[in-house]
Amino acid sequence: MTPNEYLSKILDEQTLAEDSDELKQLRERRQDVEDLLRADFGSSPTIRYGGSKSKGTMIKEAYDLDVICYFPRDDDDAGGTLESIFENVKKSLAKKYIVVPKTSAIRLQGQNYQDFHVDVVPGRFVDDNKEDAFLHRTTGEKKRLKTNLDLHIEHVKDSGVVSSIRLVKLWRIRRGLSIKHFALELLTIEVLKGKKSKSVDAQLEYLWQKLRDEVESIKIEDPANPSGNDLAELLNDAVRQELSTAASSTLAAIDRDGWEGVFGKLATTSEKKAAVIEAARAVSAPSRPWCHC
Amino acid sequence: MPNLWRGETDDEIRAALEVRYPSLRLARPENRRVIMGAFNVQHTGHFLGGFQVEVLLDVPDELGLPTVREVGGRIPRMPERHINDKFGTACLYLPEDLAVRVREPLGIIEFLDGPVRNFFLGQIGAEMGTPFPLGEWGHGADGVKEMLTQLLGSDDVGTCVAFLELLSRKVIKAHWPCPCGSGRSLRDCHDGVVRRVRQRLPLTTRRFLLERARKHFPEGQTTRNRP
Ligand SMILES: [Zn+2]
Repeated sequence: MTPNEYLSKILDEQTLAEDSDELKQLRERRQDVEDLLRADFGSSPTIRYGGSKSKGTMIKEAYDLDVICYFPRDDDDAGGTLESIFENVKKSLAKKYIVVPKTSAIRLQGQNYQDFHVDVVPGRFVDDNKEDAFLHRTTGEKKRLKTNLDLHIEHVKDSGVVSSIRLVKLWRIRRGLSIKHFALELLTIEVLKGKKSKSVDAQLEYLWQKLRDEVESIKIEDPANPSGNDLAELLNDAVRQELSTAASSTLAAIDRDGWEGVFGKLATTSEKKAAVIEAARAVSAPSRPWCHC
Repeated sequence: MPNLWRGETDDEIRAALEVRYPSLRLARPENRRVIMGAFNVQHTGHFLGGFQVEVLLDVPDELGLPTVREVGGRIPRMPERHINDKFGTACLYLPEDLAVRVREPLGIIEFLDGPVRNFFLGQIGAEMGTPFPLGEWGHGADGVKEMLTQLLGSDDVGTCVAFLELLSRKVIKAHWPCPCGSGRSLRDCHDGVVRRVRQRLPLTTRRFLLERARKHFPEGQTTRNRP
């Protein structure tokens, strides 16, 4: 098997089928969120999918659904300020969910704190064109962020490197990297912009070499607001250093063990199950979980 | 109380993680020492699963070992999954059991390779429909009772506490009455059990077991039903 074939099989493993439980649950959850928001805010907000679902970059191991909820420019029902919109949407969702505020989104969890993989992003359209929108920021000095959902979606969809983006996403989650997914996606597109015609394995190796050797030279900007949104903090020195170290050890792993050293052996579900049982048998110092509540 | 934590410097921990667990890193948010990142369970080249974790080095449990949290929301926080509270604290082991099993204090890698990996391997099993292939302890005092039964051979908690009281003494005489309540002397009864446990476990561990048993079974002394 060539590296390219191997990687395409890894991507198959990471693809959620339309009729998978995960996607079914996400669709139900989206409907539920919409019902909840419509009950409180009526027909005025625009509610739709954003994030990896609309960009085509979903992977099984980190599938997050962004549901955007943008209010018209002149609608004050949900709140006069971005902050009050954020708070009111949060309040509405909290009727049913445990809500965890993030930088510009609200993360939903079930009553036992299980993550539902859903971020609701409240905002307000800049004008009546309903394209650019302002989001509230819960952290940092700047409390307002201008964004554009369709531009973000196009930027990724038209990048020509969607497969690499998905694999980089998998790499990020498995390496436990602290860089925000949004920033890593922009970075991947930026670094690979002249490499679209290369095979996926060549693209990834090029990206990791760049991260290993020249990480400080990489610049990213937000396509929705190139001059306005400063992404420097998303790619600060610590984040760059971490990326560089991870890229270096990933390249070393490829040299040593081939691509399986990065993403593991290909396996069917039953082979994986067997590996779990086998792994349990191989444990030399067993300990069992307990519970004291 | 037994201390099972070897205690390494930050530099030692960083260096060890870099080699063995490159997806975990030692951070110092608000001056706390926390290991963060992805805890991956692998076996013979298979990637079995990954969990977002925090290992709180400054929050030791009763054995001196760090507290581990699952923070990715992958595991529902419920007793059946051995996540005990709303903070996502993982109940990796029964302290009594680990105190009996572990001879030498653990360094960070031994801790992660052992109880932490066993726990998450069990969680992957639970997701795949083969829950906790290494077994699991009964909830609360039930689990403690199971463990003491295995160790002391009696399923009566009162008797177990009596055995542990005897075992917590520095000196034990063979002519003393056997804690099982038979009325015979130890020499003519459960001497073998007592000798075996004394040989296997240091005094601090035996006393730890007694202290914990008294806590779990405050009624132990009065309700014991002697055979
Ligand atoms: Zn006896």
